[in-house]
Amino acid sequence: MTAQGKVILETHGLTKRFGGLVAVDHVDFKLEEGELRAIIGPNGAGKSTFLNLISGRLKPTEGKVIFKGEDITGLPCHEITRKGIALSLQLVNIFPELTDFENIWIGAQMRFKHRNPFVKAETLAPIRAKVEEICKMVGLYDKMDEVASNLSHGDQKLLDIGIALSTEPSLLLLDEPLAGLSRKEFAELTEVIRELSKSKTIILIEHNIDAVLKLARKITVLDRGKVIAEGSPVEISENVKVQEVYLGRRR
Amino acid sequence: MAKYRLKPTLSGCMLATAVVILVAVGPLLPASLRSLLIDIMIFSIYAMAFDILFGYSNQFSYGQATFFGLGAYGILLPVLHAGVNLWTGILIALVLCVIFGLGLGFLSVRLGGAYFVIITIIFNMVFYLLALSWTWLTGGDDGLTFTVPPATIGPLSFSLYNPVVNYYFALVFFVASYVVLRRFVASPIGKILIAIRENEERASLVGYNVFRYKLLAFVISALFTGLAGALYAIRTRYASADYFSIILSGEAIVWAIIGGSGTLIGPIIGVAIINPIIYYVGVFWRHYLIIIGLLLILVLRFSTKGIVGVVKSRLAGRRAR
Amino acid sequence: MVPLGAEFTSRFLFVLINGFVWALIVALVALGLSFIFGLMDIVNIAHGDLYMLGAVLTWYGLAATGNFWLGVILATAVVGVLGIGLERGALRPVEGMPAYTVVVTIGISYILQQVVLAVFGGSPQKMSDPFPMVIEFLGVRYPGYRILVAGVSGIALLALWFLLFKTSVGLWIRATMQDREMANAMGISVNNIYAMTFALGAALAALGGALASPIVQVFYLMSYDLLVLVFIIVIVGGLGSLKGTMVAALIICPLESVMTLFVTPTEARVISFLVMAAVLLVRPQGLFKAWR
Repeated sequence: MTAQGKVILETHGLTKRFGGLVAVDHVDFKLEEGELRAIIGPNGAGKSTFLNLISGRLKPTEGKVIFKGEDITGLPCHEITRKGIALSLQLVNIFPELTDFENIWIGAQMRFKHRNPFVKAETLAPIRAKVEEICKMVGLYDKMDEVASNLSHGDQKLLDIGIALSTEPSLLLLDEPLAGLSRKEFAELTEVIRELSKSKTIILIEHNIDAVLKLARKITVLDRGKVIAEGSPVEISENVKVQEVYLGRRR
Repeated sequence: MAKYRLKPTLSGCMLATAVVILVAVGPLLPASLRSLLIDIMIFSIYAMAFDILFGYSNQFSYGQATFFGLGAYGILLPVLHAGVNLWTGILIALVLCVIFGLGLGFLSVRLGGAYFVIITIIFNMVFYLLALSWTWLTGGDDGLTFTVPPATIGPLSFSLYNPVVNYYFALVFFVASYVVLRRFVASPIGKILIAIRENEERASLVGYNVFRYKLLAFVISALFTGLAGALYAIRTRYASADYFSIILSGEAIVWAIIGGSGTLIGPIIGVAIINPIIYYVGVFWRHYLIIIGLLLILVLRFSTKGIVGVVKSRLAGRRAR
Repeated sequence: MVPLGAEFTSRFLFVLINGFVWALIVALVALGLSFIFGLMDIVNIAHGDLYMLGAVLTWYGLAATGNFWLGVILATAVVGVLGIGLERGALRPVEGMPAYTVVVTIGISYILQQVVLAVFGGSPQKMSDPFPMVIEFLGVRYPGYRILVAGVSGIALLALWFLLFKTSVGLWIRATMQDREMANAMGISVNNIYAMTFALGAALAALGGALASPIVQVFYLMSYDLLVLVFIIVIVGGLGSLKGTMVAALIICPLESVMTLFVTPTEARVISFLVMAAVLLVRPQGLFKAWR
C-alpha cells in the first residue's frame, strides 16, 4: 500500500454557484493518498460539479482546492492535468475517429518533451511501451487497432479510463464509470478499478450501491451541495440522515 | 487491421514517383503544360496550408487570402523599392506572414467556432478593401509589376524569366513544403492537433494548452500561405489587390475539401483536378465553371472526405469482397 | 464641408428613403439566408445568385406575359421549387457541416451564374419601370415604383411573420429549428421541413431580386455586391435571429446610403464593416440572441 495518512487532496469551503443555484456549498474535503473514496448522493447533489471543480473544468465561486500541498484553485484544466489529476466523465469523451492505440497515445505523449517537430511520433518507443501497458491494464490490448467509434459502449468506457490513465495521474476522478454497462462489462470494469486502486488514489462517483460497497473503504455523502456524512460503508448505511435522503424525503 | 497504415506508404511511393517524373520531364514539357504544373504546385502549397488549419486543427477560416496577398506584396514591395535579392525578399514575405499570423491569430483563435470564421472574413475584407484603396502602396486593382531578381546559389545565377528555371524553382518549394508538412503532421505536435480536431475538450483534459496549439497551426498555415503568395508573385511578376480577394480564400476551401481535408495529399489532388479543367476546358468552353460546379456537388454527395474519401471507400469495398 | 440648405436636404432625404427601401428588399433576402443557416447550418454562398435568378426570371416573365407583377410571382415560385430540388439533390449530404456547405453552394453558384450568362447574356439589362409615377413630398421627387416596392416588401415581411408565428407550418419550422430531435419525435417530418425551409429561403431571395430588378440592373453577377451586405446584416443581427436581421437591415442600409453622399460606395462598405466589427466587439453574438 502507498503511504498512509498523507493527505493528497483537500478542499476548503469549496463553493460553486450558477446564478441563484448553489451546486456545491462550502465543502471541506480531505483525501489521503492511496484511498478509494466513493462519493454518493441523490441526483443534483453536486457530485459531478465537485469533480469538475477539482479537475479545473469549472472555476469555483469561492473556496480553495489544494493538491499535494499546492493551491491549484482556478488553474486551467490542462495545467491541473499536468500536475497529476485526471478526470473520466460520465458521458464517454474519446477521440472518435482514432484507434484505441492513438487515443491513449495522445495522453501518454503529454509528459514527453517533444522539442523536435520532425520526429515521426510512432518511432518513440518509450511512449509506445506506455500505451501498450495501459491498453493491457484496461483490457483493450487485443482491440488496440480498432477505431474508437466502433467499440461497444462498455469498451468505450474502458478506453475513456485508459485515456485518463495515459497522463500518469496520481489522482483519478471517475464520474459514474459503471453507468449503463452490461453485467459482464460491469464486472470487468469493477475489477479494473480495484486493480487501479492499488497504485492510484481514486475518487469514484457512483449510484450503484453494490459497487460502492465492494470497492470503497470510505464514503462521502453529498446532498444539495453539502457533505452530510462521511465514513465507512457500514457507518454510512446505518446513518439516519443518509437513509432519509435516499429513502424518506420527497422533493 | 488499420488499412490506413498502408496508405501513407502507398501514397508516399506514388508521390515519390510523381516527383521523379516531374523532375525528369521539366525541360521537355510543352509550355502550356509546364505553366499549368507551376500553378498546380504553387496552389498546392496554398491548399495544404489551409488543410493544416481546417483539416488538422478544425479551424475553418474564410480569409486565408489575407496571407496570400501579404506574401505576394511581402516580396514585391521590398524588391521594387529596395532592390533586395530574391531570398531576402522571400524571407521578408514569410516573416511578415508570421507576424500577422500571430497578431490576427491571437485575436481570432481565442474565439473559435462561428466567431472565428466571421473574424477571418472581416480581416480578409479589410485587407482587400485597403489594398484596393491604397493604390499608392499596392497599385489597387491594376496592381504593380516588378522585376524578379535572379535566383543565386553561390556563384551560380538563374534567371526566373526562364520558364524551365521557374518550373524547377516551384518544384523545389513544392516538394520541400510537402515533406516539411508531412513530417510535421506525423510528429508529436501533429498528433496533438489531430486530437484537438477529434475532441477539443478531451485534448485539454489530457493536459494540452489547446489555444497554444491552435495558434501554432494558424501561424504555420499563414506561413505557408504566404510562401505560396510570394511564389505566385514571382511567377506572375505582379501583384494586385485581387491577391487578397475573398474569392481566393474560397478557392483554398474548395481545393482542400474536394480533394479530401485532413489528408495533406487531398488538397494537392483537389488543385490537380480543378486547375486542369480551368486550363483545358476553359479555352474552348466559356462555361467550364458548370463542370466544376457539378464536380463540387457530386463529389460531396459521394463522400465528405472528398476524392481521397471516394478512393478509400472503393478500395475498402474491393477488399471486403 | 457639408453644404446645408434646401438642395442638400432634399438629396439627403432622397438617399435616406432609398436606404429604407433598399433595407426592406435586403431584409427579405437576408431573412432567407438566416432561415437556411439557422435550420440547417448551410452557409449559402449561392444566395446572391438566387436573388439574381429572381431578377432574371422576372425579366423573362415580363417579356412573356407583359405583366411585371406576374413575372415577380412566377420568378419567386420557380426559384422556390428549384430550392426544393437543390436541397434534396445537393445539400442534403452536407447539412449541419458549414464548411462543406460552402463548397457545395459555391458549386451551385458557379452553375447558376454560367447558365444565366449563357441564356440571358453578359450585358446588364435595364428593366422598364412598372410604375412610372413620381411622388413629390417635402421637396423631394421620388420614384413611385420604389415606394411601391417598399410597400410590397413590407407586406411580404408581414406575410412571412404571419406564416412563421400564426400557422402550423411555421410552428413546425420553428420547432425543428429549436430542437430537431424533439420535432422528429413529435411526428414532424424533418426532411420535409428542411426542403420547405430551403425553398422558402430561396423564394425570399428571388422575391428580393424580382422587386429590385427595375431599380438595379439585371446582370448575371448581381450577387457580388449583395452577398457581402447580406452576410454583414445577418451577422450583426445575430445568427439565427429574425428580429435581429430586420433591425440590422434597417440600420445598415440607410446608413450606407447616406454615407454615399460623402464617400465612395467602397468606402461606405468599409464603414459597414467597421460597424459590424464594432458591434461584434461589444456583443459577439450580434444584436439579438438567436431563438435556437
